[in-house]
Amino acid sequence: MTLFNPIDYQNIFEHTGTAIALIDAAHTIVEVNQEFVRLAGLSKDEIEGKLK
Amino acid sequence: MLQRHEQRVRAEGEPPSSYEFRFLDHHQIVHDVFITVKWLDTVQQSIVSLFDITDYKQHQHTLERRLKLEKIIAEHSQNFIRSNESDIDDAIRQVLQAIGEFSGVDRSYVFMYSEDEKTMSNTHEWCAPKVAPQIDLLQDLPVSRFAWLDSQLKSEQFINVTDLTELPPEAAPEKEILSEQDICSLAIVPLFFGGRLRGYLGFDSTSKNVRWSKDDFLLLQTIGNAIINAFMRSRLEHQLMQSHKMDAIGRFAGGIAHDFNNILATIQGNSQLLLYSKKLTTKELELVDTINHASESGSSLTRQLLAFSRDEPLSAKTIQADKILQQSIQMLKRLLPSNIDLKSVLESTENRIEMDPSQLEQIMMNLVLNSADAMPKGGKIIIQTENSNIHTADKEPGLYLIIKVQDNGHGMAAEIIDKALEPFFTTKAPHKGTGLGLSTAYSIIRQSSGYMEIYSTPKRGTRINIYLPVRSHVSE
Repeated sequence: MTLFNPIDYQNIFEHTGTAIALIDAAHTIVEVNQEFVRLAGLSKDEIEGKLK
Repeated sequence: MLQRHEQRVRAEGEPPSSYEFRFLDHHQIVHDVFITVKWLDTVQQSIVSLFDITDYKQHQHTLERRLKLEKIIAEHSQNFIRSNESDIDDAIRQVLQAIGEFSGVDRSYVFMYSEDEKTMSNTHEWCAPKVAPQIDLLQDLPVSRFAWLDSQLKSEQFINVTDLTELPPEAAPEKEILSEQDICSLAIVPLFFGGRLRGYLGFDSTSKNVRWSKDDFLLLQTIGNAIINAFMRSRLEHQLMQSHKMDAIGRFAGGIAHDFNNILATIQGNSQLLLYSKKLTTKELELVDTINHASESGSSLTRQLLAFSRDEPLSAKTIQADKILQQSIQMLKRLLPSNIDLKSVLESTENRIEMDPSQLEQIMMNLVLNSADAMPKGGKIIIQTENSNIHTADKEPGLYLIIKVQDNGHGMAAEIIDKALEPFFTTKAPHKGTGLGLSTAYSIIRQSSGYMEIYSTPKRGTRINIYLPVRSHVSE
């Protein structure tokens, strides 16, 4: 039994106070949350799928 | 970081799962970041969590710096408490070096004001490697030239400048001397003792990156207080020792002079009786006359010695010092060789002092002739007078007449100054000086409730300041 549905998890990931990023084996940043965006000083579009 | 990621992807070794690093953000601002990484095999991705610890790191850095500075200050304060008179200067230089190296400045230094607070001199300095010492260039600077600095320090303000353009317009003279040395940042704390500004402790840097926090200044003030207390204590101890020594010598000289005078009186009296004898040949009379003359010069010497050891002035009355000084200067001008330029600047308005006029003449003559002797190739002697209210702890407070005799002769080293007041101490060639000039002057001044200060730098010259209390009533 899970406490949260996938949408809740997505919300937690997005709004937690910790900057989080998911990086694949080829060093590409797959996904980042809002805190990461704030810390990096770049927009989500500038980071995701591009930055290594 | 990439290498660690590769290691995680290939499951090689054990790369750390958390560590700290720094990076420049898009706006070129440095961030300290704490990072934790976990490789998720199932999705073939790393999940990376980052914590911005910039503020925390900044606090930690500040705290570490403060602790280091506190440690330096605690260690060196101990030195000041333990140090005795001879190694106080070393203790000051060591703390200048320790704080200088810690803070990364180019020069750390102590300036002290003169007793009359008219000039300031660099007394101790530390220079970073490759930085040229400045101490010899920064002697006897007029306080009036640095009015802004003086007033800031007197109102117990720290001076913290990281860019010379921050200085107000009235600090133009300070700015000039600082920019001559390419100084950008400056930290100065005042040194107070007995409620009076006695000097300051300063740190100069040619880099704008040297910054001092408010906490730093409190710590610098603590060590500054330790420095000035130790320095003044050693100075007062030295003065006390000197005055004990002079008292002992005075009593000793007085005792001998008294007994010796009695012996001379016998010689003189009997030789005079012989001179009236009709049985002596001309040749014999000449011999007796020589004995008589020798005993006369002997008793003139003992009179000077008695004057030195005397505790009460002989015929002191209230006199107008400026008139006597004018007369003495006229007389001395005639006496001095032509290559010596004697100038006088008599600016005192209150000139009533208690002294025998001939004693004041004698003091001036002794001092000026000493100055002339210090300048065999010629030079300049300046006699100045002024009034000043003195309120130091070790002197009778009140209005004083200050007579300064300054020359640009060969000067004296510190160990000579210490002995200069002792009777029979002389650096002059045999038969050129009795060694009684300064000691007689000193003793007359002391009997007139005044005091004397000697400032001298080898090869630069000597200044003697005489402080005589101004009397408000004419006794005649």
